[in-house]
Amino acid sequence: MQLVWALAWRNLWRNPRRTLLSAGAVAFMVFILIFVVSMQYGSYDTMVNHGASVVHGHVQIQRTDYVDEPRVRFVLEGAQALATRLRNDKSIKAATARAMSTALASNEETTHGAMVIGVDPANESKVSWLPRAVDEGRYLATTGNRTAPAAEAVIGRVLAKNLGLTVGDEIVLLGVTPEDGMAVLIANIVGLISSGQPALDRALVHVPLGLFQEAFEMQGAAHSVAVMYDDFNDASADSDVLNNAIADTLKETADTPGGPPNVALWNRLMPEIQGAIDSDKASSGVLYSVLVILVTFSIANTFVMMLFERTREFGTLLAMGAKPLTLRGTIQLETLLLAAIGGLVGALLGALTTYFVGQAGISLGAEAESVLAQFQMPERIHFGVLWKALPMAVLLMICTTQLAAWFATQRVHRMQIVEAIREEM
Amino acid sequence: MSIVRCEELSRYYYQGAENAIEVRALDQVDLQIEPGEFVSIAGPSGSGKSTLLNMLGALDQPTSGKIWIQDELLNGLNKTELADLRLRRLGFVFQSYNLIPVLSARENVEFVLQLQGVGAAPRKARADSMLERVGLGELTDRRPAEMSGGQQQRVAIARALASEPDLLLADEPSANLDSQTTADLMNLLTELNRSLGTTIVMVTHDTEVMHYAERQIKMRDGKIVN
Ligand SMILES: Nc1ncnc2c1ncn2[C@@H]1O[C@H](COP(=O)(O)OP(=O)(O)OP(=O)(O)O)[C@@H](O)[C@H]1O
Ligand SMILES: [Mg+2]
Repeated sequence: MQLVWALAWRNLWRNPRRTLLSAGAVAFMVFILIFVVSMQYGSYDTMVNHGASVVHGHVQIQRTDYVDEPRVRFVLEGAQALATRLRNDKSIKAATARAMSTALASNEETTHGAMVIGVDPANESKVSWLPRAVDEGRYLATTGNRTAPAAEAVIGRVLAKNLGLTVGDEIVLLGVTPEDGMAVLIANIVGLISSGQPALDRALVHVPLGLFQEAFEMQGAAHSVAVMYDDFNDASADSDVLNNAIADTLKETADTPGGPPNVALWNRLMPEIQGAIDSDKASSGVLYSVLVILVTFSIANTFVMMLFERTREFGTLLAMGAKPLTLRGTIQLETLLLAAIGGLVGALLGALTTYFVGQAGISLGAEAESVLAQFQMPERIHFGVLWKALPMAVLLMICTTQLAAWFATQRVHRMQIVEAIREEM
Repeated sequence: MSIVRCEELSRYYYQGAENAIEVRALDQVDLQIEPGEFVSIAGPSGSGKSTLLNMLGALDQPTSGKIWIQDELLNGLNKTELADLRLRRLGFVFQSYNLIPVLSARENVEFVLQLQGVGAAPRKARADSMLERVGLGELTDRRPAEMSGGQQQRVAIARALASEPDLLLADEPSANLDSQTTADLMNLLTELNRSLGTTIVMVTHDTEVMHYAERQIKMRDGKIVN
């Protein structure tokens, strides 16, 4: 056994330059795979998390009929209890309950449509970045232990401009209660939101959930619960944690006519992001395959040359009674060592580079930024090392080089011993 | 029972445009070699010496005729069976030594034993004692590049004999060596032939070398002429 390994190891260093080039090619490939795939998955994280934290969350729970037609009366009773329960689960990063309605916001001259959202300010900040998009005044005060909710609102900057209102002014909103009564909500504007998204800036109004519930006669109910996880990959529309919490806190069950709770995952809430990820995976998959094939072919080529140079040695061993498969086995072993060396070096360099570059962040350039803005992404992408890419990249290269060696050494079976022995070296 | 026997053995090559020229490298050769013999095959270049030796060594297939090694007919054995036969019963020594360059003298000898499935400890012991026998007891850890031609050829002999073959086939083993080294090598082969009883068939075109063997075969144009 020892002799076989010694032979393989020393054979590698018969032509150190060639071995280093081949090992370098493996290292390069592993390096690229680790770095690029980590960056790729990091960008998916950014896309999904950023997209999810505009409004929806990684998972959003609503009544089924509300999903079909968002009417104020399709409420989730116990939404706040559900949010509280989920927040306390350690697998969940944040959860918040919301109530929503369209409303008319008016001043003396004009009327504008608005989307009023009743939020729990402290938890809203953990789910969404909209509270941080306030660029004048402040966001809603956290409720604390006050019984009566503060009569304050934060509204989109464009809406404020259209209404001729600003921080310190009073806004009047008219809507319809679940019982088809008139809902009137009056609040002081304490801040303006500039989200960069026209649709939001033109219509958004955040008020404390309690205030919304009073004005819209919600009797403590809300319309949706948004949930965020630390890692979006952990999010699922069908987990025990969710199902148990829903069963324990909501009055609505699967049998509620029109109103069984509907749990939607981020990829259903934001199909455009799932689509972007899918097409990116597909196109990069093609690119990686081409790269891997190119590198593998270049290595296979060196095997063919190496075999050619060792023709007489192999002829001699075949003459002495060695089996072709035994000889090919020694080359597979050499190849394994080669790929392992290259793979380890590539994995080490790949992980280190990925770590430091991912910390510093990568700018995708001005051109990409406008596209990214669509998905509400920051212009610098930060990412971590995708650890599972390490063994996978190394294993992939070990497999492809093994295959390359296997095909390159087919010739051993066809070797004419008498001619091989005579071969000049 | 003879060690090796052939009957009307022929090997033709076809050369030239459209393989029009027939070269009779071996032409209807009958030969019988008995256990313990030391036989030399001599003759001018191109007379078919190597071709005959390769046939006896089961390295090449005849165009016609039959070969037996210890009463086993080689015609009709497949590649694997032939490889096994070479591994168990034959030893080879070549003109240019053909050692594995990255292995030491001992490891080169061990390698063949490993192919035969001999375990690590007996392998090493046998390699050492065989190298001792060919006078290289001090050089077991040297690589081929660190040895003279004569020393490398001794390693090759040790490698060929370590597995205790019945028949040792040597094609011009001394062609690359000076006369003193050649004499030493021939004395070694003679001594091994006597002490181990290994049958040796050696190709040479050197008349002096030829006479170390007790029986000399002369070839010309693919035929045995004496
Ligand atoms: N592979 C081959 N293809 C064609 N002809 C061959 C081949 N091998 C040998 N021959 C021919 O067969 C004849 C015998 O060759 P062989 O090698 O047996 O001669 P030899 O006696 O060993 O010569 P030398 O002393 O030069 O080694 C020669 O005419 C040679 O040209
Ligand atoms: Mg010859």
